[in-house]
Amino acid sequence: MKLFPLSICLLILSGCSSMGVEPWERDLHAKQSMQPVANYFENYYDEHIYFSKEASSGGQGVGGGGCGCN
Amino acid sequence: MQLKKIKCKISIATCTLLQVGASSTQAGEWDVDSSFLYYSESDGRVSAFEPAVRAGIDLGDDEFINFQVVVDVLTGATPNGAHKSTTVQTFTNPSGNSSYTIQPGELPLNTTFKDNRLALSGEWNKAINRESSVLFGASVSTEIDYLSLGLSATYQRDFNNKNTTLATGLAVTSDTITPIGDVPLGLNPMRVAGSDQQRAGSSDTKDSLDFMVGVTQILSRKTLVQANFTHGISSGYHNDYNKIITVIDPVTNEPVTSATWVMPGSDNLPYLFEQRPDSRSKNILFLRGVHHLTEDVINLSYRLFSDDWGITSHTLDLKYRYELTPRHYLQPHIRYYTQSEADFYRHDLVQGTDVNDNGTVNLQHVSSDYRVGAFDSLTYGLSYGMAVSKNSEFSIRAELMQQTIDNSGVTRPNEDTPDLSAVILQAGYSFTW
Repeated sequence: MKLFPLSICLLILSGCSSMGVEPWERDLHAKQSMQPVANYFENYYDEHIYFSKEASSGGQGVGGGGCGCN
Repeated sequence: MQLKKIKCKISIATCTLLQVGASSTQAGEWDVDSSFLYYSESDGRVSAFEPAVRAGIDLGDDEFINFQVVVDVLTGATPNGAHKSTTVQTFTNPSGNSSYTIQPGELPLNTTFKDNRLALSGEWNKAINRESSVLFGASVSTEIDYLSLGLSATYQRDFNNKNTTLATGLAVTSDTITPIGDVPLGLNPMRVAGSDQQRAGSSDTKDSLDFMVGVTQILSRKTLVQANFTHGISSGYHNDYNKIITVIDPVTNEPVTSATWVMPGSDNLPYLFEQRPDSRSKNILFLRGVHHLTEDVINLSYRLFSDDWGITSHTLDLKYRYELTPRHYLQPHIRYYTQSEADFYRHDLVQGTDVNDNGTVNLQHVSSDYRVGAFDSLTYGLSYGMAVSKNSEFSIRAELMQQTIDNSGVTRPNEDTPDLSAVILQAGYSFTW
């Protein structure tokens, strides 16, 4: 079970080796709108609101600290 | 939109992993992001004002730091967990010194709810070589009754000509809960105001550890995908010390009254403080895809959450960024969320069945907090952004959140948990300095 995440990564890594773009084809990926989180505080506030109003939280990364939100 | 250059390189690990933009920032430049949130729930429940500032600087040689300050001012009323009644109900405030009454037919809300929060965090990001970097973060968050300290570390490495990025991160959090009026004893009755409150102590603690592994893959010039897996464990005090649960009289199907309450002791009210397990283990799968159309951008994510409390949830989030002009955009947003209830979620406790005549409770864990019950939530709204200049951007958004509570398991009158709606308003301004 502990090796499961590692196995998934290796599988993805090998499968992804044929995908992607050349360095000169990264113009669109450099745009702010193409970032996984394009607006930092929109995402931050949403994480905080739903953390305090739902039983689930996290998934996008680690860290940031907690709160006793009601 | 030329903003947030540093954010393309460094991002707080809690929210944004693996920004893949390749833009660079001149050493010594500050990237500043400021924002203000107004959150307001219906029926006079919780309102929040939350200003925030975040500033990052490029130190040169692929080294970045940033700092963040968030202030949170909360007011309003929050459900205390008890049910409506056909008679007037009296509850004791968390301090134990005073009480409040709820009229017949009204949902019991604690109107003394008020809190302020100050959250500070910082991050340091440094490239180890051309392919890999490390990100260290520290955070502190303090409230009247809560202190949270956190440390995190994330390592990421590029492969396949920087088209694939693997990341792994670890975070530890140490929380200290210091309730106003000390820590209530779980599964013990709320006590009459002014009497001995029989509390467990002045504070309690909770420790958390999260481990994450993720991959981001550029599929084509217009598409990238991301997948994260997170495993988290926590131990210690998981209760919400403000939450109680009603004891029902099986004869009347109403909350028991002081006259019919079997718990020995004249100062015991017919409500018990909730008791959740002292540990929690969770697994989270998070998937995201970002696709560039001719001009517009679609950002779609899905999260599967599961824990050993019996809660499973699904979250679907869709943003469509519609480029009005090169300097203006509109972004409709829709988010759907659904969760199942925790194993220990109960609408009530029944006298004679769950609570014996001698006052003992037959359950180990119980909570009537609707947030560990089953419900669906839908959020929809719109953002508008405008590039004020080459290096500054203004944005606003307005959204409506609607939680629909699953009351299908309710068998007695007055036990329906009402639905909740909330307005989310946000304004932000970002600039390079």
